[in-house]
Amino acid sequence: MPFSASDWKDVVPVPQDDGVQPLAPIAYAQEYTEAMDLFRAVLLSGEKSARVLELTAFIIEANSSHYTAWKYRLDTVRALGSPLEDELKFVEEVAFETPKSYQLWPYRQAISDQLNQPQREIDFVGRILALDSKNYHAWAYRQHIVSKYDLWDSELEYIDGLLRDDVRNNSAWNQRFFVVSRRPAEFTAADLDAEVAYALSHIQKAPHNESAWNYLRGQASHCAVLLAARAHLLTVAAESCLS
Amino acid sequence: MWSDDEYTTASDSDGAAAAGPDGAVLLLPEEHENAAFNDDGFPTATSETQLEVEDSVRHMLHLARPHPSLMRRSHVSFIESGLRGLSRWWVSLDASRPWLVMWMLHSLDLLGHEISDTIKSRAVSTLSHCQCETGGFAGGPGQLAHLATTFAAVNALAIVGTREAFESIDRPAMYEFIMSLKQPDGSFVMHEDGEADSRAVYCAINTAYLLNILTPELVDRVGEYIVRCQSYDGGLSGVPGTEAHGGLAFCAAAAMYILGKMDMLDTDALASWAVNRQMAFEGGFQGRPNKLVDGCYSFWHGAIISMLEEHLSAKKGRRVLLFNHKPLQTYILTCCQGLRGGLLDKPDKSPDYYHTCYCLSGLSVSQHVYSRTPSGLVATLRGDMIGPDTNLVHPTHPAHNLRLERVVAMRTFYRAM
Ligand SMILES: [Zn+2]
Repeated sequence: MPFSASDWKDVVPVPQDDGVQPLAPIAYAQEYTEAMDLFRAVLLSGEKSARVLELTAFIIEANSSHYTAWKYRLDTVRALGSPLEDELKFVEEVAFETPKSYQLWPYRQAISDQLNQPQREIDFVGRILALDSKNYHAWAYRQHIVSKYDLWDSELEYIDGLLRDDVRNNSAWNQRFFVVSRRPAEFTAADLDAEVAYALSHIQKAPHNESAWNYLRGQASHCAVLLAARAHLLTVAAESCLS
Repeated sequence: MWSDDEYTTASDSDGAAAAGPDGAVLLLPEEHENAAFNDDGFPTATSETQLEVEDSVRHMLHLARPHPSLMRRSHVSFIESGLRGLSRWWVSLDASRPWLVMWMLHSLDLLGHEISDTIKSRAVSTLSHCQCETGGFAGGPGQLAHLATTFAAVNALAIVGTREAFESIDRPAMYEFIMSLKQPDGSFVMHEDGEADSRAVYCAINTAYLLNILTPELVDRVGEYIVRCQSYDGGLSGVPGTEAHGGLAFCAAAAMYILGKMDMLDTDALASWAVNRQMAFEGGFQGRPNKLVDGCYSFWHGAIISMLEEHLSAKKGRRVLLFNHKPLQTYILTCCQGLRGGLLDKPDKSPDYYHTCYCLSGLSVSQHVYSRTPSGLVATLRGDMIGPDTNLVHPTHPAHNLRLERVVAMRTFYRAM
């Protein structure tokens, strides 16, 4: 997204103050320097306007880890009350270019938390995970959406599909553990049997797959903790009956 | 549960020079092929890319000489060229300027290359221009303060180690800055409206420890938060419930190590997870199960293993060794050195300053064993080093990733204040 310097004639650019002979200076492209000189002026003046949205978009597209530009953009969107739908589209453009940026995910969350559109968010993360089914940030965001909107049941189907594609996808196994251990429904003996059978059926396909074994062991120790707690309760109950 | 012996995953012959059938000296014995990935005749995307990477590693191992050496001079000139400046393609690091300085200076420091007085004062000046009036350091001049770049700036100033460097940090403002990011669950956010995770926790704890501003209020509930980040597979994640991951696991473990709270974690499960991230064929580490080897995890996992070795040895009153160090050194030396200097992720990748720093840091923790004394950690040689003695780099602290004496000097300076 180009920004147009002619929109900014009224603003005095503020050059970067690196000091004398800075270490590891970056030989910026001319356009980036111009945009940053204006952005520094904006940070000083506190201007929040449509052209600031254009300017921060340009900086973020050049450098999606520019957390100051993201933060100032969020403040601007909040101050202007600008359409959140446009921000979702903006994040999507950046996400498909640089899906591993740390910054775009908390930004997405700050916007989407106000919109209450779980299906749209699940679809968006699904499209990012279709490009890289192990994208760490995308999975963390997905967990936020699943718990916020109670999407536990449909999540198991999704995971099932991913493990059919690639039984070695450790992120998908982790997501299964997340769902099974955190959904509000009580974890019953039948659930444990089902999870053990699930893991074993996948282990049979590829016995050297560490992810499935870790899952099985994780379920075993998870239920050992539950069983120990139950045994403790029984002891306490028995003792109180006897006394 | 576990006996300590079970932690050693590979045989002693791994990574040692051996004689081939025709008498030629080979870097690895032929049986090494047995360690290759077994896809059980059931290929998936994961196994296919894994086998491709093994091919490129196999190719490098075949080309390698039996005693691979660390190309010190090329690495120094790669770093010196970075200190002079980077091309426009590195604009993606324009919000990470203190990181660049830290990666470069720490690499030189590990190599034992003396950092000149001029570079030292230029470093102080560069970082001071990133320091914010409200406390903390930003990714560049005029940007917002951020915990990660604060971590990098403070570590870089520890390496510089001059009075000018120590005095340049505004500690009262720093304390206010860190406390302003603290969350009710014990974690920290990276910056106002930023993300909270175990990385942010580590950056806060490391910085506060080095600057001697680690108050009970700052530490409050940190241990409880990190315990919730321990995953069902024993590893540690960024936020509770997400997948365990090498870099985040390092942050979580190092924060607990600095705070003396390692025993709040299941250390056996963590040890088992961390040593199993070492790839049987490649010798280097992967970040998560079923992901690919990458040179930077040499430090992230290597440091976790080193911290666990020190912690468990002190606890049990006998030396506990968990590190299969020789295959790792072989991987770093044969697969992660750029032809014109700099270190890298895996064969066919280009060198960069991040991987240079963390491959060298990983080499360092693999060459040394750490033990605790009243005056701090001391390092002794692990022995059986791969390659000539000139491959030895300085011991780095496994929790702070600074040379041991840098930690002591910075702490001593602020304690005297
Ligand atoms: Zn890496």
